[in-house]
Amino acid sequence: MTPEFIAGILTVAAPLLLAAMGGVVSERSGVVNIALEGTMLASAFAFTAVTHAFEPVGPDGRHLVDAAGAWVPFAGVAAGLACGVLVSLLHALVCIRVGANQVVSGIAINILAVGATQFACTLVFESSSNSARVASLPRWGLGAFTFTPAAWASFVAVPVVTLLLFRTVFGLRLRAVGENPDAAETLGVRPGAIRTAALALSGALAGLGGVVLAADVSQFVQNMTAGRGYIALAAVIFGKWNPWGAAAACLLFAAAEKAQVPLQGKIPPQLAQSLPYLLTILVLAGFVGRARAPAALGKPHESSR
Amino acid sequence: MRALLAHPWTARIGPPVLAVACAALLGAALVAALGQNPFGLAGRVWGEATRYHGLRDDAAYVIAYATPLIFTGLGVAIAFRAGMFNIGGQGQVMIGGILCGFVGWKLAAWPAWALVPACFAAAAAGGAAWASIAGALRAWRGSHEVIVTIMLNVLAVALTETLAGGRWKSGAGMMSQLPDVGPGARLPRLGAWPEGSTSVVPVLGIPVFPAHVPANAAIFLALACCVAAWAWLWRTTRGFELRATGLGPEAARAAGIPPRTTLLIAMALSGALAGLAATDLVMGQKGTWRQDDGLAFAGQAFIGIAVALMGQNHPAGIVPAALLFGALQRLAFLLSGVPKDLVFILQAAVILFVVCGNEIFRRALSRRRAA
Amino acid sequence: MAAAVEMVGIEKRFPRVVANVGVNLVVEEGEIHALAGENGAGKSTLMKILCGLHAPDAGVVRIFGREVTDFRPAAAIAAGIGMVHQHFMQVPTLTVAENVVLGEEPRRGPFFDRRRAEERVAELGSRFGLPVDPRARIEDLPVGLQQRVEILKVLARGARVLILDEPTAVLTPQESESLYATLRSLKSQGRTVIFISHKLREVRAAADRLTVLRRGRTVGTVPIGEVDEAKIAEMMIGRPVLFEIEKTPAAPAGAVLEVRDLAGGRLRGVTFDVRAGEIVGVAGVEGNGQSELVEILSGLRQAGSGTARLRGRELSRAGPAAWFEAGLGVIPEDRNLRGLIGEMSVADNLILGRHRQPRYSRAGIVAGAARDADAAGLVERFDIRPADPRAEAESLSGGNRQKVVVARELSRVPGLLVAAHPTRGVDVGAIEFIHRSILAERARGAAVLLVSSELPEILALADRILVLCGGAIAGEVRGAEATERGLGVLMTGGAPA
Repeated sequence: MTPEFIAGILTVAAPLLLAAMGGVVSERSGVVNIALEGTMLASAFAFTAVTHAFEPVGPDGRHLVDAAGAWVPFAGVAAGLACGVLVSLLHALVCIRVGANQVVSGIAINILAVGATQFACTLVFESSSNSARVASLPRWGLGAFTFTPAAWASFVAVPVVTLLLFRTVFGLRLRAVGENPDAAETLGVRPGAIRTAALALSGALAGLGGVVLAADVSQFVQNMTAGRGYIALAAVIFGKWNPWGAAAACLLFAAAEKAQVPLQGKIPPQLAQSLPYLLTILVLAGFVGRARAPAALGKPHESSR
Repeated sequence: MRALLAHPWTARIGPPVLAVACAALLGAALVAALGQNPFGLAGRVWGEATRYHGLRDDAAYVIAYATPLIFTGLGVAIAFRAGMFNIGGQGQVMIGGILCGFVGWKLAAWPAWALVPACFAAAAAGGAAWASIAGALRAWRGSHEVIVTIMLNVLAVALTETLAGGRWKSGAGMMSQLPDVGPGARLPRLGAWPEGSTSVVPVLGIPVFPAHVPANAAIFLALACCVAAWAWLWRTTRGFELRATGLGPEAARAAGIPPRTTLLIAMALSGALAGLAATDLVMGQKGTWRQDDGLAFAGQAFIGIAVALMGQNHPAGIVPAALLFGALQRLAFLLSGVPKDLVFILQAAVILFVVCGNEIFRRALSRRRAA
Repeated sequence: MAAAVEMVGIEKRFPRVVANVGVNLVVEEGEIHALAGENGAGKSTLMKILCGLHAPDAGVVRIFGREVTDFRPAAAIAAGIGMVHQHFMQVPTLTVAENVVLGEEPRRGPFFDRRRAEERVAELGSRFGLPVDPRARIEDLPVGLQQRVEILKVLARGARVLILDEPTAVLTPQESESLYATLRSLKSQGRTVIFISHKLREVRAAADRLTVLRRGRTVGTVPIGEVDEAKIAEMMIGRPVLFEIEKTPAAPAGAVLEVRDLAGGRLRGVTFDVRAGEIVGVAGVEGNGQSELVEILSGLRQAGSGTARLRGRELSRAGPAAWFEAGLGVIPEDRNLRGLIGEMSVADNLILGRHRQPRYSRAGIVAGAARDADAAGLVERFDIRPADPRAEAESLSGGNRQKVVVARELSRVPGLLVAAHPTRGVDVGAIEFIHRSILAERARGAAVLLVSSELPEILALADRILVLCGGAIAGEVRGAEATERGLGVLMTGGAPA
């Protein structure tokens, strides 16, 4: 267990952590957010494109990536956050406002994100498969533990989301709406509004997760989330809808991915890789500690008015 | 006008038709936003489509792309009719595919009349087994099938990779792939024979289709499955029980219909249909199971969800819906001057529009009834 | 001084149902006022109007002398009305304090001030004599304490008039006693209480005055000291307005259903037989074990203990299929949930549950011709309208839906017919038809178990009447000798007259 190995796990875990926190927030309010995957992807692209747009351009029309001001990638981060919120609001429009099936809406948004990012990537970077290299976020930290500010934010996100859910008025209302929206409504809490706000926050978190992915390699690559949104969702369930539990699950998943290298030749790599998914199924089946979902999860709320 | 709105068919056909219209408008708006004339683009697409053999090539390609979508769309629809969401088509296609390739390879010496059914059975059994895991967990443990099937998708990728890159690997090369299936397992192309094929079913050579298009006899299996699914759902006692369980789980249970068995059967059938989609790839196109082809092919299973939605979970709706999405994929190759990924956007837009449309129609209908 | 609540000439109509016609209710400040009446008498509608969930079609509502013009929950709460629903509106995973303050939480900046919330709840609890641990999770509390939290919730919102909807329906006798004490303590603090009940003993134990509703009208308001239980029962039930049904004397044969010490859920050990050719009525206030009895006898619930034999076969833990096979026909309590599948056709609904019989399933294939032919016959015989077997069940009226269920179950030619509230929410014409059908079953030689909370229905049809109270049989009366007053007293836990 070298520091480099641990830092490597944290690097892999960072985007998962953010997406999983987004998942916790939305699921606790009663909305299944399969759209995490697409949200991450869209924000990864938004980060790349906006960073690219603010880079200085040389006389030959080429982007001077390394001459960009330090603030430039941060503009990209802001764009990634905004994009995450927008994608989530689309999800909210379809499954809260219209009341359509949350799973279908999420899947459609994921397909949309793949198409829209490649479409836009072709327009901006003249290639659907990947973008140009863009200005990098700075790396902060000590020794092996240097990460982008976005990755650092992922480590902070866990206590912040815990605080938000369990210590604030908004969090109390959010959890109430996820368990019994009718009861909340009789007390003057508007389930639709709370769920929309929860989704917006969920989108911002997942979006930042996408930013982490893109910032790590300073570019956008076609479908670069590669199922991380789904893994994050599994982590939410594995962690029993609790931020710390979900975070632990993300670390476990990340460790399983990193462990493939040292374990090479000892056990089949696919086995190590599959372990988290198998565990999630066992948790869902109730063989490893029964998990209880928020009672109103996935059910559209029809207001009595 | 009122009578037309109240007609039951309006709620069924209205949302998909409106969704296509809205998606077309959205596409046109996007094209216009890029500074191009949508009509000009349409003209160019038409020109491209009719350039070599008229619309013959295009029709063949649309059929080729629609074939797996019919299977996966039917699979999603059957699960949905029982009140479940099978979004594990990807994993079921992969398990079905590798088993299909395995049987085709191990029994390579068999004649076509025996090997073709054996391969079909293997593909169906693989998909059914994989989906049954989610079905059984839902029925007996109450686990949510959506998450379980997503997890099973990832596990299927790992499992097929382990087999195709390990025990079942074709001798040489870096590629994770199985040895070729026997010649008897090859499905003929619609246009002409694949090179080296000794298929015994020559009736299927349709000269109007060009030979280079991958459309193959799997389309007939797909259409047969549609008819079978329709007949099973609406003409058999088990199918009646499945629909009853989906529409009124409590009433079905009170009527003595076993809820768990019914869910399991629905999920197994749903998976079997998804597994059969792999016959198109393994027997019709590649003649083997190759991991990377399989991954790309199985990724299309998500479009099966869209097909089921568009087709209102009815076999008769799924065929046109699959053809529509097949046509969109063909459109991607014909587009010029705009990124072909426009097509993905349109696919997603169609799903969103149709799911919203269904919900809006449903509420309007129930309001009308309450009044 | 103005009355706390004054409702004059209230009228409320729903599609197909008139819920309130000229209802008057006056509740003085600081009294405990009971509101009694049978199911469907209009109590709930009246209370929903008072707490702003419905607007009346006619009539005037005054709260503490001020006329209500704005019928919305928020306005009612502002006027001092607080409703304790029968089904608690709580978030089970949250704590008592969180549930009580939800919607108007004490804050410190954006943060929830948990300590102040807990203090506030503890203070409210001690002020009104309703002690409950503010930190306990709702789901860990017994039902009696959960109800206490509901009461605290409305008190925390400044309610001066508390409405309790059937508050003792879910309570044990001890918990009920403690609730009465709570109500008295609230009264001593100057609050006004309206509680809906049809248990006469508790009305007498807790209320100062009583208003009785019947069929959407006010029967009268009386001080509790001036009436006895028998009188209240008579006010509630009134004269039967059922059609006279000519009924031949029963000629019961051997026992078809034998129930011994059967228990499960709220049902606490019942023993009885139902013989061929007789109708046994089960009377009782709802929630006294009837639902559980019907569920066990149709295979939807496994009995906790005891036995139930249908034609000699022990089935107390069997599923629906085994019951049907042994000769059951059942008209379930909730036809929309359990009796019918709304989005299926009438013809499909008519074979539901019989779809595996050889007549409708040949080698696993649905025999469409037989199904359609039989459906057409049943639609005509049972006068189901519209006379279109292909219509979706959902598009039918309540009465016609029930006829579909009755038609299906009778066409099984059952040895035992279990009919639970067969005429609930059904129009008058259909009621008569269904009653005649049940009598025809008896004449054919079927054993019939009729569960109903409509006494006139039971009196008109049953040869023997079992009265369920508290999950046990409180008494058995022969049909010919039964009176509404006598049954009413038994139902409400009084001593047999």
